[in-house]
Amino acid sequence: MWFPSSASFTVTYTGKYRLTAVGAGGSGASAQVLTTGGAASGGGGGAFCEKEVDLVAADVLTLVVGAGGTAVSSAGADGVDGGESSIHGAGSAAAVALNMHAGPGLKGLYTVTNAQNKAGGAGGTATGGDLNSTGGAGGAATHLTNGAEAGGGGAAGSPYGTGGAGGSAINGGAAGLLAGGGGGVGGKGWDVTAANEAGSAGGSGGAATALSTGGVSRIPGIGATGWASYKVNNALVLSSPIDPFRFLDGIAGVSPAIPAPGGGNAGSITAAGVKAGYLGGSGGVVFAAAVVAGSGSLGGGSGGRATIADVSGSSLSGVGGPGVILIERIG
Amino acid sequence: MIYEILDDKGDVVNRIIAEQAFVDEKYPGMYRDVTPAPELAAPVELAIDPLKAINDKLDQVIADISKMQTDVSKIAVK
Repeated sequence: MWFPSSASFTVTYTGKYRLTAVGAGGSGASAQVLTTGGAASGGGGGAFCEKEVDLVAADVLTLVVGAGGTAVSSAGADGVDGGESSIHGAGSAAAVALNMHAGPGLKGLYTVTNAQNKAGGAGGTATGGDLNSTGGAGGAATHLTNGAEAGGGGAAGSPYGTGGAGGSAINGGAAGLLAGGGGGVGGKGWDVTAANEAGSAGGSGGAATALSTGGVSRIPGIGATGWASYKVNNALVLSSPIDPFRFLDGIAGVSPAIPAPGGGNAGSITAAGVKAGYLGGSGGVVFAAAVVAGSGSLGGGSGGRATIADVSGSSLSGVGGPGVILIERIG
Repeated sequence: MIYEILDDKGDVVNRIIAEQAFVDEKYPGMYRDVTPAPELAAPVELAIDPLKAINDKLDQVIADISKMQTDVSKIAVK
C-alpha cells in the first residue's frame, strides 16, 4: 500500500511486512537576471530506508511523508530543502522498536558573482532500516559573467545504494549556456564543461557515459528503443507492483510521456525541462525563455534554473520529488 | 496539503505532506500551512469596446431605415 501523504496505519493482519520510506528531494535554485546571467545548483535526492519486520494485528504505525522542495522563481533564489519521511510504531515490541528515518535532499544554491561556485544540495541520509541509502547530491554550478549555468538534481537512494549525483555545470572556457544532467539511481548525470552543452542523465543501471549518452537500464540488454517501446505499449508507470523499488528499469529520460523508473532526465538549453522517472533527478535548464525546469519524482532532486534573459516571475525551477512510504505484506 | 513542522523556537524541523487532521493530532499548534497557492492565469487585456456591438447595430438599423425611406419616396414619385 502506497502512502503519498502522512497517515496513521493500523495493521490488520499479523505477519511479515516490508516497510519503505523515501525522503523528499530538494529543489534547485533559480538565477534569472538580466544579460549578465547567473548560476543555479541542483537539489539533492532524498534517502531510502527499508526494513522487514514482523508486525501484529492492531499495531499502529505513524507514517510521516516528506514534501518536496517547492519551485522557486526569482532573479536570485536558493531552492528549498525537502522533508524527511519517517515510520514509527506502537503496540507490539517490534512495532515500538521502529525508528526509520529517510532524510531529505537539500536545496540548490544560486550566485550571480563571476567565478563563484555553488555546491549542489546534499543528498539525504537514512537511519533505522535494514537498508539505508543516501540520496545523490545536486550538481554544482560555477558562474561566468554573461553565462548561465545550472546543475542537475540528484537521484534518491534506492535498494541498490547511493543515488547518482546531478551533473555539474562548470565551464572551463568562454561563458555560455551549460546544463548538467540529472542523476539516476544507477549513477551520475553528465558534467558539462563547455559553453552551449546540455548533459545527459544517469539511468537506473548506470551513469551517463557521454554528453549525449545517458545511463542504461538496470535490466540487461534493454536498449533505448526496446525500453521505450515496451513502456509505451504497456503504459506502465511502475514496472512492478511487487517490490517496485527493486524493479527499476528506466534508462536516462526519453520523454515525459514515458516513465523511466530510476532514470534521471537530461539537462536542457533549448526547451523546458521534463519530469524525471521516480527516484530520478531532473536536469538543469538554462533555456532563455519563460519555461519551467523539470521536477524530480518520488524523492529525486530537481535541477537548477538559470538564464541570461529577464524571465523571472514566469519561469520556475523544478519541484523536488515528494517523499513516499510503501507498506507491503510479504509473509 | 504541505505543512512545515516547527519546534519550540518556531524553527522549521520538517516539511511534510498531510491532511490537517493529522498535523492537528501529531503536532498541535506546532505547524504552519505552506501549501503553494494555485497559479492563476495572468489577466489578459483584450481590445474590446463594450459599446461597439450596440453602435454597430444602431448604424445598421439607421441605414436600413434610410434605405426604406428612399424606397418609399421612389414609390411616391411613381
